[in-house]
Amino acid sequence: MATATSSWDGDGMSLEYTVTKGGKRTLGAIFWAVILFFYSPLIVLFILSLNTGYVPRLPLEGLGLQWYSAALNNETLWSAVGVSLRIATVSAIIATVFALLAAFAIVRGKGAIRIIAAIAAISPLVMPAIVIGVSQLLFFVWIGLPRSPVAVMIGHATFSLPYATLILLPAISQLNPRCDEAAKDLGARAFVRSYTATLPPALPAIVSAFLIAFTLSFDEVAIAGFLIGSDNTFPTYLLAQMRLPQRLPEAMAMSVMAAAFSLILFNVVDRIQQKGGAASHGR
Amino acid sequence: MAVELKSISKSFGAVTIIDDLSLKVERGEFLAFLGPSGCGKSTTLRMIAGLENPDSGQITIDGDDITSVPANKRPINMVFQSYALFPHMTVWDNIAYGLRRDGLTGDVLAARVEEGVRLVRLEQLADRKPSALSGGQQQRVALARSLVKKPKALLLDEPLGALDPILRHHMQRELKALQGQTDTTFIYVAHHQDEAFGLADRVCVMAGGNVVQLDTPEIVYRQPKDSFVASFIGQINRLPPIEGSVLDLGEGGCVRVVKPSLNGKTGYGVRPEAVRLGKPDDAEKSSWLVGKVSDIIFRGPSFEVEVETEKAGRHMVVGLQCDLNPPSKDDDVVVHWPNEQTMQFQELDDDQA
Repeated sequence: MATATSSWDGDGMSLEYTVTKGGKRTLGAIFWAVILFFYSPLIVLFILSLNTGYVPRLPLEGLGLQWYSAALNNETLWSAVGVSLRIATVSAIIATVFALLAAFAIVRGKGAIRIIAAIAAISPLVMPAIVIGVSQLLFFVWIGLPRSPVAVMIGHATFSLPYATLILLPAISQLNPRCDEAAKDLGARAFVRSYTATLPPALPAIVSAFLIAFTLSFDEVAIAGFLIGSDNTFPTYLLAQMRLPQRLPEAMAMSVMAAAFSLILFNVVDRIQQKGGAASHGR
Repeated sequence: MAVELKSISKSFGAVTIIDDLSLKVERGEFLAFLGPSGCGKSTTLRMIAGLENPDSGQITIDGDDITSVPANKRPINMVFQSYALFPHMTVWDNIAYGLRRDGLTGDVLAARVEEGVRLVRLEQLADRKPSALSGGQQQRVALARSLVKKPKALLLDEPLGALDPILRHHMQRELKALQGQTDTTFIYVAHHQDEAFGLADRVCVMAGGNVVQLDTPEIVYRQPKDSFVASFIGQINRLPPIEGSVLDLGEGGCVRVVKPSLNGKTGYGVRPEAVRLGKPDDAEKSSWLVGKVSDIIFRGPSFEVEVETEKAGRHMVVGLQCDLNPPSKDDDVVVHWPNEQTMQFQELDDDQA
């Protein structure tokens, strides 16, 4: 993904190596084989979603977009998507804010603070989502927080915090601490400094961190399954539909639309970042 | 009195950086700090800016105590060594930053910013981001950004350190001109003595967290207070200890001191450019030493002739104008200099250069 490197304003590393012609061909073949392996399920899904029959198999009974229109008209599904979008947005905001604080503590903190911040923000990474789900369910029951979208928001914020932190760390460590001092010297209070001088250069990374947290939450099913309660998120709804064969084609159509949405979203973000992302302040 | 420091001390952990430092900077003066790394010159500057707090002592500006005033409320601005420009803003917005913090908007803001842009002659580049500027141009933006605030004192922390020598030379002139135009007090941490000498009205030589000597560049160079200043500033040929006012080495030479003697242990020396090759015309008015040429180094404008003076037990460096023919290695030579060029200064025991 070009997104990550370009947003850190890469230091233009160039690797020089020699490969023979045959070697190049082999490497190329391996590359395309891997790409095919990764993307063929998606292609198969796309083809089968165009089937007019109920049973997903080849040859297709006929080509048509009927499942797409069925999916688009399915209100239960749309309400699940709505729940997922709300959870993804709120949990991504929480994760990004805490990831920013953690990244600053890790980069600029001294002594124990750095270590504590690093452990607190990054350790959920090694925790299986299912363990986070179970333990948070028990904890929330204990403190009296019912299973709900709010519970999932908190669960997902915890889950995506380490990813957001790892994306922000290099960007924050590249910020010039003297810029903060310069802003102070020029008369800016601490809060004003943070949004006028200190953070804007890291904006591309902040947007990346938010989007990663957003996508992680959007398709997360294990934690959501434990914490959502009577509502449904998009992934828990999809999973439930798998039990009913006649609903499967609709679910496939919806999945294809979700994948297309993600692709478009990431392309847009990539464009923004390549243009230099950071908002230029007008006069 | 623009800026005054009274009995300032500062430690980082167990390390004392500044030890009971007092200093007065006159209004409109160009003062340069000079000293080895770790002598506390940058820390002193940062304390004046308010980016570090002294452990004890007082800092005043125009008589007002600002010791506990935070940096963002001090009428003092700073130019950082790394420039510290805001990378996401244009030149114009960088220069406007401090003025906006003062609440300026619209035409008033624009007029002040344009004034700053013109001051450093960046009219053509006002819409560029710092990354599209050369080092010298970035430096000018940093200067303008601070100067538009019309500070009572401008602090400069090795501002030319990151520039190449030609550009540095050019920027030195610009700095001097800017100081004249704006009539601002400049307090400058110098990267090199050439910078300090070329720019400053007074040079403040620091060592071990305190001021060693604060004088005009000429006095610091010609009348160093002690052996540290003598060897830190410029090149010096140390001479053997002299009892009374004459050191007679017979065939080996004769060194005379014509200045009144100092109290305490005294060191002696002479600058390479004061020393000439050959026998003195007037033996009474000159000091001389016999020696052998050990090396000749071409320095462009001059040759450096290194002479071992056997009797005096010293290694002397003689600056020789390039239009003169240098001697050859191993030639026996006589070096001499006018008696009044023999410098004397307080000898520090731990510094035998």
